Amino acid sequence: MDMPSKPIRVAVIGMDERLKNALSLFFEGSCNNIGVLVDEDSAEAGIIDMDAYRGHENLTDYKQRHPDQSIILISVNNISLDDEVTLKKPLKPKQLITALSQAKKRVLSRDDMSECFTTQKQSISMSEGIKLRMEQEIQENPVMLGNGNIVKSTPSSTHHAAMYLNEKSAKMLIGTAPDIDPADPQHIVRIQFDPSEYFQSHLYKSCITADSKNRYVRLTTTRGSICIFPDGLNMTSNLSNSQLRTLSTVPVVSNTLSVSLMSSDYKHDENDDYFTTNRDSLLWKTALWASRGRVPVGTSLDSPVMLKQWPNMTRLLLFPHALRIAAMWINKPYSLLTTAETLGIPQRYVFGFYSAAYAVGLVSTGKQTGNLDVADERQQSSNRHSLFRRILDRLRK
Amino acid sequence: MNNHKIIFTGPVGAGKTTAITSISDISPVLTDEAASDMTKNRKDATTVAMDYGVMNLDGSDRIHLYGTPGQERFNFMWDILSEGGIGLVLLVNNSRPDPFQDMRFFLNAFDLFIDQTNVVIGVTRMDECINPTITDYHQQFKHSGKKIPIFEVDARERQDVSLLVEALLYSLDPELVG
Repeated sequence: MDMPSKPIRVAVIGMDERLKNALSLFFEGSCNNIGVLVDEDSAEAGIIDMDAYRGHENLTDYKQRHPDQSIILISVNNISLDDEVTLKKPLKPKQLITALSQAKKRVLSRDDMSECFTTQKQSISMSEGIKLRMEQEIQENPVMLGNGNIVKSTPSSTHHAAMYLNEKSAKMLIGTAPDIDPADPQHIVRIQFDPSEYFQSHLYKSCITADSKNRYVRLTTTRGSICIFPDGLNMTSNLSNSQLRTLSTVPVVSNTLSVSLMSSDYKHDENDDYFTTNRDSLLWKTALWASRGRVPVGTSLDSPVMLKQWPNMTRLLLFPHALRIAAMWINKPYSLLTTAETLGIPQRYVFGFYSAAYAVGLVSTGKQTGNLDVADERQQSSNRHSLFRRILDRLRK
Repeated sequence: MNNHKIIFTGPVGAGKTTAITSISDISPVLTDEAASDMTKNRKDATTVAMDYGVMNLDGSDRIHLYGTPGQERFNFMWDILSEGGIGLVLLVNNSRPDPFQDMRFFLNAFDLFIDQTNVVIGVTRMDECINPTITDYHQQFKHSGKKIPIFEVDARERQDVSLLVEALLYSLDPELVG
């Protein structure tokens, strides 16, 4: 099998030192350099022993900390969990190699998708190369999920392919939370988060500072920095997409960030380590990562909202239903709950879209006009549904 | 077989031919020829009749993709071309001296068609010229209250063009599922 050259970085959870050593020896020896054991912070995937003390809690906690990572579960029992690769003990080298290569593929697929949004342009030939390699590997070795499904999605070939994220792939952005009962206060609490605790808020404040002072502002983290231009448009950063994601998905420890106002003759970074990105794209993305299908604390789920203007969709990280929600909110205000109900989609997609649009200042409030008052339009448009849907299918092939 | 059409319009060099090429199932029928009039300073060849591409749908329906000639002396064809169309994709070349004027010209030229259907605007060549920004374009419609989908577009990128067309469909039919 044609293995990717770079080993996947794997953390092991819930294993004692002896087991870790055994796995380490295996990685260094007979596994063809497909994986390497690392600390959790720098891992791309995790192996979790479900038979360990607090095995299930370990899994829940790990997913909370690293919602976008591949996870391999091992157990003496047959376990079936959506989207996780599972291995039954005793571990067999061949199975473990297969599981690791599957996890690697998912990392490649994810990074290929998400890196698309960190750079302004991506080489088509490189993406095609990854796509071809992925298609070949998936044919050779399909990814079997815990639920028995086979992942058929291939990496996208261009830098805007997140539009075509399927529901499973969008989990790292939107999460998996079920719909809530808006009458239950506990449910409301569950779908709220405080943006001020997250990286998105620090980034936003730095943008405000750059604009108000008309100066370059450097936001420095423990892993790299972002330089915000006073032009209201661009930023440079040497943070990788995965580093940004890690920074954005968990509350920020305040002393790990610093903001510096650069001198007026400051020349922004232009070396190879830095890429230029659009300000709104990054604000949108960090808000989505922080939100994971939740809304900023204090958001009314019943109050009607609408968009001030269409987001620049071709330069944003998109997910299923984003265009539909935008189209719905562009002309008439609807509440978040009404939107989900009317479109027939899980609430978390509406919540995630709201959080991202709110972060880039595109949301306004308005008077509810009721459930799509388009009874007549519905009749008129029913004939178009079929045609338009087939056009969408064709465009997304 | 049912036939439908989407119209691509915009000034010379906005990327209409390229955009159609990027989503067409066939090699577009190009009617470009060497520029011989005022367009020769903008590009070597220009479309003198129309570009044409096709998207074949499941169920044997076809979507014809018509690109209008970039030269204004061919605007007599526009009404004929747009008759019965699903909607309008307007591409604006951001590196032109006054892209807002271009935009207004084409919105006026197709105003009847737009009233009956809808329009999306793709702003091209923003890598060459970052101003005006997308926000500036939206500002142009502030007084009219129109909220038109306006996206930065690289006409060579299939996904950009695809998103533009998808936005057109969703704005025509917000209840569209998919």
